[in-house]
Amino acid sequence: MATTTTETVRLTIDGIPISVPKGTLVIEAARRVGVMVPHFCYHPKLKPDANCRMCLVEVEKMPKLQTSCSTLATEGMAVRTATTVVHDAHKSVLEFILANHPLDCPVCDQGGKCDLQDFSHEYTATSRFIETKRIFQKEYFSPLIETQMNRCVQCLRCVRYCDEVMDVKALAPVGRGTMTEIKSFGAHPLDCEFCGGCVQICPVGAITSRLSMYEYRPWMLKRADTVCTFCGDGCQITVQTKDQELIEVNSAQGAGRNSGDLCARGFFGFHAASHPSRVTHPLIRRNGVLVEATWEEALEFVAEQTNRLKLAHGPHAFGGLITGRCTNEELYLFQKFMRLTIGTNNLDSSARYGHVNGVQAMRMVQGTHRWTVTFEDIVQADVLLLVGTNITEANPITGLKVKEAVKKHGATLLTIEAIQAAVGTISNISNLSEQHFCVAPSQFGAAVLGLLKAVVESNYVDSAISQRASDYVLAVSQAVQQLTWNDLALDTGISRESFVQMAAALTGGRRVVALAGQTLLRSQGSYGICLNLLDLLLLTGKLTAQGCGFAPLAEENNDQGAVEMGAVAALLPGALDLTDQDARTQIARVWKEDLPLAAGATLIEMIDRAQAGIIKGLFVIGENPVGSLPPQIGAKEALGKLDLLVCQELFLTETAELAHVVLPAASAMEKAGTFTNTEGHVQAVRPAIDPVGDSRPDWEILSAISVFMGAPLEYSEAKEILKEIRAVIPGYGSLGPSPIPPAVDRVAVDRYVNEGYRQDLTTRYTLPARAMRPEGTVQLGLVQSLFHSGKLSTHSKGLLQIEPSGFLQMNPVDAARFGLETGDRVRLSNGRGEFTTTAKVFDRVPEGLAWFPDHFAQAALRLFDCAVDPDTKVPYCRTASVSVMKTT
Amino acid sequence: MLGSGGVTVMEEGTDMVWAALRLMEFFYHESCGKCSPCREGSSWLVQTMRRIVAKRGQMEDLETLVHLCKNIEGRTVCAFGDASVAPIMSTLKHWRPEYVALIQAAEAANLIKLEPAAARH
Repeated sequence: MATTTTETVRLTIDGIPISVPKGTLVIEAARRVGVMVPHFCYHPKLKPDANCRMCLVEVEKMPKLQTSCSTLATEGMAVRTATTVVHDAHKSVLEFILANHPLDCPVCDQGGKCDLQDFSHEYTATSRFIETKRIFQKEYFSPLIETQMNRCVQCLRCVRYCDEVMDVKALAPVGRGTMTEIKSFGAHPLDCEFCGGCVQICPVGAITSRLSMYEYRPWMLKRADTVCTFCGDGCQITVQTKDQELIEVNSAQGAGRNSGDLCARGFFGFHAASHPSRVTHPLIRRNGVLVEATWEEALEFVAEQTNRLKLAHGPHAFGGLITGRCTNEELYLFQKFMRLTIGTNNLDSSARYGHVNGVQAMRMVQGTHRWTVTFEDIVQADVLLLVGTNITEANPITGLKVKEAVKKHGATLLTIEAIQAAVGTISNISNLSEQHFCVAPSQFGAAVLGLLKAVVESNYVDSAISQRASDYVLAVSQAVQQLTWNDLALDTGISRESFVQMAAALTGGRRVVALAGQTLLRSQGSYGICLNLLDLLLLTGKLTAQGCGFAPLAEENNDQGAVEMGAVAALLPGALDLTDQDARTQIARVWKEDLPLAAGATLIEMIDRAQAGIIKGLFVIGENPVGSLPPQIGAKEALGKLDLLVCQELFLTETAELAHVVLPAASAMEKAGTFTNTEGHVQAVRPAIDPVGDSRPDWEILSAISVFMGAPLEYSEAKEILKEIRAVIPGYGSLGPSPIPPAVDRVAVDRYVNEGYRQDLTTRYTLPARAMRPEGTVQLGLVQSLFHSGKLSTHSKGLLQIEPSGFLQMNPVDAARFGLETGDRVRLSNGRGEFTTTAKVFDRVPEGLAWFPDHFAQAALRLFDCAVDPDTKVPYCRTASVSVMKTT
Repeated sequence: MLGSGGVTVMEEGTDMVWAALRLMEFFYHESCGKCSPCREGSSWLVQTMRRIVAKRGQMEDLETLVHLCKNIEGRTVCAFGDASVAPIMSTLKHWRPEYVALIQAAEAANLIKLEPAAARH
């Protein structure tokens, strides 16, 4: 891709003068004046390859026709695209491309959106080809992707995309000449990231999706531009439907934060919402069984019970949990319902599982609850530090931004990840890094402390901060002096020299972005580690500089929105403190009523209070504490004691099975609203289909309950709630195609360096206890898979074809130690219980660790214990020490 | 010029259309397949030449051959495409009667083949 500078050149295209940045390709310059030069192999995301020869143009003073996709615009250039010579050239190249192309358009899924069809029509292409067309043996390609190599025009867009953008390299042109076909490396079905990029980028029908094969013609489909509901990246997707049926998902180059890129979840995971096991009618528990009821019956029951319990036990006998998959409007209304209609601050969302750690650290140090950088800053960064992101699996599209920064712009990538740098079927970010520290999640903290020590000892501390906050710098310096290089090396396996080298790279960067991912945010002590990372940026002068910042990644699509809407116990809308008097006044003015002041219970506290009989009624929206928390926490017993458990759900989850009332909720494919992605960009969600069965959007349900309770929160549509959100949080909502990040709040930074750091500095600057792992055990970790997101994706038929169940993934060395091979049954056990599964040898797993995908971990949860963060109340329950035994 | 700087010595009386086909087959085999005109063009040219040599050609083929060669020339990524059309271009220029003779033979054979069929009507 051409790099653009501020320098411009002037040229003419068909006589039209235009000025473009130096480095612009002629084909792009032409596009800007509205001249579309036909092309197949050119794609703005890819490096020019100039292989299809379709985009030939005449350039004055050049002896031959030039391919406009590989020619840079220069000063004074005169380009002609509409001459007879050019037209004849286009027609002749088209004749060549059509020569071996089968004319099976009537049954081709690309028919109607095919570049070859369109250009053939435009040039009224005829063919003098009377020879035999080339025929490829039909080969099985993969369960999700179909290839028809006879249709291939060998433009290699798919191969180049797979390599240049995805860094997966799963595809290759095999054979030569006319017999070149696109295949996966090796004689096996395609095994890759299944991002669907090859399907989307193919200009003809050579690579298509099997999920929608032979089902439709493009013009029969209805389109809805919305936002993906899996991870926090917030990709824009176009959902294509036919008669209320989900057919296909696409994305458009240049649109949304993903600019056309998707991952397997986004491209193949869309069926999750239309799974046949959706709850489609309200259910009420009668004589111990959930039976179908009408909405009126269900709502009346909920309202009556709620009013009765409230009268008897007061508002604090209630709690509420909501998933970060809901829209901002729903999250907002949920907390308003809990705070106003019920009258309690006992409310929490899935952001509590980890995202709150990153947000609270940002609020503490830089006074913002959002990133101060955007995806563009990641792409433009010259140094990127990734800590515990597991980025390819957890946030694939943010991962692409990192790949773009490294591969296209030559950024220096530094990674502290629990991943071995092994080449595999999916891309491994550590293979792109300049320096990679492979450490267990329990030692992320030690690795960050090592960097801080290296910065202090190598005098990399920014002079401005030394002058401005000498006490703070001194305190940090003294704290890191307490640590010894020997201990650090024992904990992390990393030498002083390596730490100094990474610290030097970090300090030398001009635009530095530090990304913290779910592996870090959900590990014990993560809040402190996030603060230490912010210290690292602050000390090296990278916190406040242009293009620099700290970026904690959200796991669920609207975790960030949940925090900003105040759907967490301690925060009001706008992510302001519950005790913030100005915020309270502002909200009370809009709500026309005062907010409860008593501090609310968080997720784990609510479960404890339910267990103790203090909380009697719980509203659960899309959350599943029984299914996602280890049994040690006792969520099942606690929720079993409730007098009223109301679940608004898509599916009958483990939690919903305990409910007194289950209200069928509409999925994000069926409702309107907004999501806020991990960078804090608010994007519109639009319905693609009508609500399934009798289901309704969660906001409508909450509104209806409040009406039945006699304290109505009435809205006619989601937009009306957004209007109210804007009254509470000025300016909230979509603000154009890219986010405008907040600046670091200098006052907050001053507060932190003068005072704030003191409260926990010594605790944070202590090395985590070195875990002595007994012989015969491994550290089991619940990890995020690229092919799933939470439990929602396990209802998607497409994704289940790629990954139908969980495997225990283990390093070859460990596997050999336990005598395990891929496919062997393995029993994991510890003091808390045991769990049997199938092993898979995987060289990406670091030695001493074993991975199991979180999405299938239901039965494994009993092995895990839970520690709660004293500051942020985040439950840490993702790792456990287990004995491994081969079994039959 | 038969396509490269090398000198090829052929016996007097060599069938030049056959020779052009052999050279074209070489270029077809060597075409890497990256760019469309060379990849598709060389395969097309070889098939047409084989038909002509096998006495299944027709007069329009000669015009098509020239067009195809001109459409490859100057439009490929590398000079291989330019070189690949040389055997056909130069044999057509210098030994056109040999092509014509082969095609006339084909047409004569076709005529014989067609006659009984035509008689049935």
